[in-house]
Amino acid sequence: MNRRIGVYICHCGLNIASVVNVEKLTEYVKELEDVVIARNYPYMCSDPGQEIIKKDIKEYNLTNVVVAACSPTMHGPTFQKACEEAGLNPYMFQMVNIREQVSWVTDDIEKATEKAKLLVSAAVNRVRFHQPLEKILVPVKQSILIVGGGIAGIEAALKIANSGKKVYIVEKEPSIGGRMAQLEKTFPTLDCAACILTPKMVEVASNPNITLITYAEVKEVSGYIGNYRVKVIKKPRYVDESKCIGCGLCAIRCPSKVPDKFNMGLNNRRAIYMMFPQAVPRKYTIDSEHCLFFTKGVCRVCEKFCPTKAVNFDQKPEEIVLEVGGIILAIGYDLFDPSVIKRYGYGRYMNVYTGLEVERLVSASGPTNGKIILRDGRTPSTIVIIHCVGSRDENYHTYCSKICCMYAMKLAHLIKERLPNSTVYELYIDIRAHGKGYEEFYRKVQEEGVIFIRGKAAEVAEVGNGRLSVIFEDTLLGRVQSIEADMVILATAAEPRKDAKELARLFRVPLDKDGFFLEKHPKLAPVSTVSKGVFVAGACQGPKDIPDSVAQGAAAASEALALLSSGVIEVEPIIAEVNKNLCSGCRICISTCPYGAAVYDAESKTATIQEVLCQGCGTCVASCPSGARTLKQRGFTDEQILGELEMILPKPKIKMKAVA
Amino acid sequence: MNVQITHLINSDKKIHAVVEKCIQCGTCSASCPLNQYMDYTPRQLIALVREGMIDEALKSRTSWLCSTCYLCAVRCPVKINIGDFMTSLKRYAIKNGYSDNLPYSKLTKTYVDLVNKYGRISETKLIITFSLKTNPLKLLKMLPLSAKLLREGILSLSLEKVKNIQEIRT
Repeated sequence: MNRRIGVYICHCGLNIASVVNVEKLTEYVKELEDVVIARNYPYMCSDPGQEIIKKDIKEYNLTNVVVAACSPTMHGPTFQKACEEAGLNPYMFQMVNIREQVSWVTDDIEKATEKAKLLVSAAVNRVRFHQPLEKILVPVKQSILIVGGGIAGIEAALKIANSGKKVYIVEKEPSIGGRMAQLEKTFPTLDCAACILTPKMVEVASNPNITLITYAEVKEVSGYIGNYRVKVIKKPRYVDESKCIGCGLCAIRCPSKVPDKFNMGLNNRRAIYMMFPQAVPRKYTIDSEHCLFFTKGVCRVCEKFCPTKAVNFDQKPEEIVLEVGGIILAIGYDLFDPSVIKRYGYGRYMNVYTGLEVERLVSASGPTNGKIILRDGRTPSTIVIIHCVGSRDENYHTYCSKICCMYAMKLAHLIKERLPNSTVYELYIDIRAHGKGYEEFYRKVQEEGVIFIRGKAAEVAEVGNGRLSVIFEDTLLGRVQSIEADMVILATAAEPRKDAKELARLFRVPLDKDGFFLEKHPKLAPVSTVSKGVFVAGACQGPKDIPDSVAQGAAAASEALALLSSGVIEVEPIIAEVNKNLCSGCRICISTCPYGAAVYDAESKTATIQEVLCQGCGTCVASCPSGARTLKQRGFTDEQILGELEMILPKPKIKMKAVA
Repeated sequence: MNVQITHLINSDKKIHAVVEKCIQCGTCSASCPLNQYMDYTPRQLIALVREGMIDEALKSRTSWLCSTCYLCAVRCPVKINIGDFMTSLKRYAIKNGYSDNLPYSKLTKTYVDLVNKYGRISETKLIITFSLKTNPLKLLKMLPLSAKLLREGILSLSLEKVKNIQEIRT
């Protein structure tokens, strides 16, 4: 076939042109075989740049286009589209990265130009073996799965449901609400957390487009963007959700007392319980680990007293299969366990608390109904709050947890409000009050008489009678000091959920170095992931306060809606293909395919690749014993790859004969 | 300010790494068991070096008081080895004559000389040599205490010596 290739070299402003001699490169490329036209231009990706390509395709009747510019993940699709608009099949195009792989990694003009020459000539020699490919269109299932029913998940669910699409929320706990439900007030406006969250939770429960699956976990994920199949295991509540009216008679009678996880273990709940008074759904759950019937085989008191006969000890785990178009992960965060920092004495000294414990302590619905009473029954008069416990510390978490400064100040405010005669100290390294109204809140707390001391606490020691001594250096005075306190509060770091790793594996979403879900691009694609059709929202992507989590929930919803409303998605045709005439039907490819795309066709006794399932990983191609002519990877055929190598590898070269 | 030393310290990679990493949180200062005797806290010493006040840092007694217990290094949130930093500063101080008149450095030097000479350390010999170098009158003051210690057998007058000391000398 007679090839007519056009080559376009981008200056990328000075990004490329300051290191690669683009004029020399263009002259060199013009001499290559089959190259009809070679040009360079300051910004190939700009409209006029694309126009040049389009005009040339028509004028010179080009069969192939090579663009040497930035990374193909950046502008590959831009130029493919330009080719398509000029009537050329987009797969007759090849991109060369002479920015990230050439100009950005060296200052040596000579060597850079040489390397650029090699790469461009390799692409020219490759592109001549390209075949036109057609994109595969797949319909998108019109529903979304949201994993996690915290504020980010709730916001995303409501946005999607209100636009008329179906949403499934899978929540691990018996109630939605997440971390926000545990909070008393929210900084900096001091709204009552429950007052602003509960209406949203009720809306979730009453929205006909939302299916709420609580006390459940995702076990298996298969499929691909637009067509995910998710297996969910709903743990047995041992209470029939359709019958339970949430009257609470069962819990009153239940004899088994268990530390209340929701209240951070500060008081006890019963083995049959509702997480918190505003729980959604308003249903009771039996904690089978502590229920006397499950541990000792006796009791069943709750069953006797239930007026609607909702208690059912025979419930079994239920498997639910969901078919959805897209997935939003909003699993939230865990709090750092400060007992590993031995010198702060958490777990050893009873009056050392974590921030979230104090949050429950000051909460009107908490274990003390909002009264600040220490574990030894005293009311504290001197309180020290230690910042950066587990954050900004290379021994634990290097990152700044972003929310601790603000919640520490909020707690200081609440303590001052409840105990006006108390003295509250904040030991900080730097105050990070970055959000809207946050700096003002900092000032307000300072003016309320909270004493801010710049210095990280070195040690907390007990001095008798439950009183504690905190030793630190006041770094602004340059003096080592100690404060005797009744209560020490540790502003602990936010860290990834314990099961984030497992979910990351299930949904094929990478984790960042700290273990949070990795977004596709930190600035330009903050809620997308490299796993297409899987989005992230809230603190599972990195520590986040409520405003940011809500914003991300809404952003993830809009990404998910864009996916659903497109109706069909284009799947890259860069996939494997079987030559039925050569296939011996050995089925090795079927056993190696990680996506279940290769199947055995009994009729023709050969392997078949299911187009929409194939991700183009190439595993089957490499495993095929009768070679790549039998099982071929479109877009990465032997001719194409060898053609590329022929120009890059040093001479003397092996003469390749084109088979295409 | 001594320009030459400033340059020397600024180009010392080990010291450079310390002053660049420090977040000035003060954990080291408050963890130090000897902090109350220091004129500058360890954190301040790092700040002095960072801001180029090398002269002041080398004149400080802080590094001489450091017992290299490394509690600061264990707790440091940015994993600075402050003990090693102190040792480096001490070396610069000795090399450049900052420590000649400091009692701490004299004590250190006496100690090292004794070890070099005998391979072992004798408290009696150490205190006598050190006091003779600094304040001989102090020896008289210590007599009653040392008599008590001698009687209890805690202090010994004998001087132990390692055999064939040249074999272990580097």
